[in-house]
Amino acid sequence: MIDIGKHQTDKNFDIGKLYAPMGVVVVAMVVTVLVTQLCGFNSLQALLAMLIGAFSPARWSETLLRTTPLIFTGLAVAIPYQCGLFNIGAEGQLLMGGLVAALIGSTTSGIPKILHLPLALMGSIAAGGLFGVLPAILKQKLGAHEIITSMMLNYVALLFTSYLVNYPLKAEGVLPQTVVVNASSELTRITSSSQLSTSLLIAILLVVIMNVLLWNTPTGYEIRAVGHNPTACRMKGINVTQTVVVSMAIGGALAGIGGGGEVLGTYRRFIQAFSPGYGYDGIAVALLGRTHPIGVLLSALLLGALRSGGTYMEQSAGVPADFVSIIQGVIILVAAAQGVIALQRDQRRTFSKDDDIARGEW
Amino acid sequence: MLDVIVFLAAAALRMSTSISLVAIGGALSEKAGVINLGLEGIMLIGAFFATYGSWKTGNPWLGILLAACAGATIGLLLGLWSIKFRANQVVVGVSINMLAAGVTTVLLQVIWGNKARSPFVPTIAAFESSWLANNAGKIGLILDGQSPVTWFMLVVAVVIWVLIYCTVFGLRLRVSGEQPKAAIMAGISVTQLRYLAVIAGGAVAGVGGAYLSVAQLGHFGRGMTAGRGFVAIAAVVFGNWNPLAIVGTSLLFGLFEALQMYFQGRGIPSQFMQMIPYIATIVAVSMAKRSRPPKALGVPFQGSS
Repeated sequence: MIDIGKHQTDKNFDIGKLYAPMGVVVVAMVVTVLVTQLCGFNSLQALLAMLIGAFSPARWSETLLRTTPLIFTGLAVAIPYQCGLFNIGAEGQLLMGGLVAALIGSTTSGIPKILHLPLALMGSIAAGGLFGVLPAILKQKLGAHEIITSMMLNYVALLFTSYLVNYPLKAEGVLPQTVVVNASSELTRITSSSQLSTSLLIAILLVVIMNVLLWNTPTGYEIRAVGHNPTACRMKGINVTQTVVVSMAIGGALAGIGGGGEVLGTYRRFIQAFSPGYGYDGIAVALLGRTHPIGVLLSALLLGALRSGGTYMEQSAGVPADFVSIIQGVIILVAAAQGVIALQRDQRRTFSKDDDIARGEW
Repeated sequence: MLDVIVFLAAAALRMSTSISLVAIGGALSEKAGVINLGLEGIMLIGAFFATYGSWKTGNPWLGILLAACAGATIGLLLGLWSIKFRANQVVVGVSINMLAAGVTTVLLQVIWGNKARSPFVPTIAAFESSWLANNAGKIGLILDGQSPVTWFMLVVAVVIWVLIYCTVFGLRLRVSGEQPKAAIMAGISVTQLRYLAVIAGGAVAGVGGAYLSVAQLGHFGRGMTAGRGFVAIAAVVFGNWNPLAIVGTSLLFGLFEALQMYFQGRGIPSQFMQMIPYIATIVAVSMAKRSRPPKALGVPFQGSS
């Protein structure tokens, strides 16, 4: 069996494997202190504000609010990664899913909640899934590199949804957003004082489902097998192309329902640019979590806490919240350097018609 | 009619300059075997530091120099992680983009106290020549009034093409990207060449970003690259990693961007026009079956030297 580095392939998520990410976080904290000091801020005050903002009991709802979409996008990247693909298109899939959820939620009425809400969520799953499958199909039929096509589709989705909420779907008023979705399609709020909604519960449920999928079903087995060695799978009779497409469909669907969760639960409407890059953060989440669903849950919590801490840090210490992007970037780099996500040289990431195209990533 | 063509061609050339430079920089590193998905980030960093340099010294050319240095530094970062640590190059590229976005936005606030944009800075004046306009036919008309950076781009494209395809150095570079093991047996230092390629490529890409702020717009805006770095990547693939072909593909994409601006004021929602380059890219890579990447692209080199 080809070893593909410290990619978590066992069902049981080994807590010991968390030591490395923990060390990475410590490094990130150090970086925070150093760079804030360099920029002229009071670094200890900043660090303190960040930790308070992230972990204090008063902020838990904010932290969980930030965590929820990351669980979705983290899973959206992790599942295809188990199959050997990089789902860079999670951002676009998230947006399309959110859009469809907003559409279904706001344009249909008179349906009882027990039907309306699942319908809207199904819509977002379908939208995200289709959007995610597109690069896979383009690769299979036309040899188009999936990283480029996914990336471009992200921008297409961004611009398309922007057009919709600025023109045909625009609600009255100045802001580029849709009308509020009907109450029968809303996700219930968990507390009355924050936007945190049951989408969090859906996310956690999905973590469990994905766990079962990957290690207890034939499909999951095929996904993981193709991720390890597509050639051996072909010889064994597993339809590699189909498996890859399925994994991208699942990934897209996960990101899509993430978007639906944000629209139906947090904002109750589709607001332009509601996603500050959740799809890309999902990449960080998936990699830090070793692409294991439970790992994704934990690292989503970590990065969500980081984001929440960043907002608080801006409020109380005056350090720009975008600082968190720097910390996140450093975390990934340090993790990558540790070989946490380094891939072995003989990793085959192809499934194209011609087997000898692109050894490696291209 | 011909006037419209000249107008569009000139606009396309103007729009394509930044993408072309970034793409050439990317192609250089990839010819040697290192994937560069961080072009968006390098472009942003280049745009930022050019603005800062111009603001601080009052000289936009020094800004461009600073941008090149900044781009080279990021290239070094990419090289270090890809070559020394053998990290997944796609991941490194993505994190560079993340870092660049964070760093430039934070610095924007730290230096100028503004979340969205920098103040206007001295820019590079366009190069007007009545000789060109009157004596060189339509080509002259197109070239007249372009920025010196555009001329630089055209020169760099030719120089790098010659370097890659007509010199021994270029041969060694290409071998490093195709068959690194053969290169080693021939006594070539693959590691050294890759570092060189990635740093030089980063510098050129940095200048591409600098064009946006210090030659075109006049200031730095948060996230101003808006995905152009990825259009550049598409230009690389569509241009088959060949600098001269890349100028061509960039011109094509520049044309689309020019068309988008042309139609924007005419009742078509800007978003559709803005989508064109991205959709065109998807179509482009779907058709690029002839496009063949360097064989060892993205594969960390394991072995001595």
